[in-house]
Amino acid sequence: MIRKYILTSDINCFGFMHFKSDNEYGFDVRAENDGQSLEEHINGIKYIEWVIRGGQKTTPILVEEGTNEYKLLDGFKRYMAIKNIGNPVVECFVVTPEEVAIKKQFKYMGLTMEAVLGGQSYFDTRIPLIEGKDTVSEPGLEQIDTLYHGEHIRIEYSECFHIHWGDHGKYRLKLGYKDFMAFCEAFSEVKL
Amino acid sequence: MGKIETVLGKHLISEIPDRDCNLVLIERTPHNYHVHFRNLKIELNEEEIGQWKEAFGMAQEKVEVGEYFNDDNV
Repeated sequence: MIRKYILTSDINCFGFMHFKSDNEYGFDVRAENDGQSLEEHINGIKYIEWVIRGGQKTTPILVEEGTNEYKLLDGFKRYMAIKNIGNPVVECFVVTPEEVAIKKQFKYMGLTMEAVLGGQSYFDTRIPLIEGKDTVSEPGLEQIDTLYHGEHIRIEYSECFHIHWGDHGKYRLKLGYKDFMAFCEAFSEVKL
Repeated sequence: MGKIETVLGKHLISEIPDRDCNLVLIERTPHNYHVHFRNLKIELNEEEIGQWKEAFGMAQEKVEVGEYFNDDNV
């Protein structure tokens, strides 16, 4: 797997789950394959466009290297949002057909990703940096240890490390242990 | 033209070559501070960078005496 920027025009986003259409959106969905309707896709794309316009980044999409083009494996909504905004390039994880054949796994931000069509295990962090709710109010998280709570940053631990910053902690970054310690070590070097 | 950023802090996450994705890099620019990590660039002002430094320092102290780990993060 390599990671690089690719022209959106070099990626074929249609296949098993999405197909080209003459409707106003330019595409339609095989909901029986995808699990989501066209309307859900449209809403998702609009949301991601809003997130990107707010200055945030999305997780790179997953594509398979081909002879003349790249085949989109995961990230249709992110791809469409980036294209709609007019960005000519999109950041991608690029896997080879051989890696797809063996469903090769790789790590990204502490999560396991797989070289397969759709359905990555990083569902809840596809947009790792989002305008978020306060972690305290997130369902499913039980014990939360606050490691630091200041005006500009809050650091909590619950299953992994959560860094919150921005107005009302609206930006959130989840870090595994190694990444968190890398932040600590890098900041310990800072002399102001 | 020379480079205008000053590196204030840098830490490699792993030795596996992955361009700039495997490190945390903190830079001072003429107008503010940048924290680079994976595909993110976080911009901070003078006041914020000071508090981030204090926050990670204090959090690290607590972590080193606690039981916080995530072995899923390779």
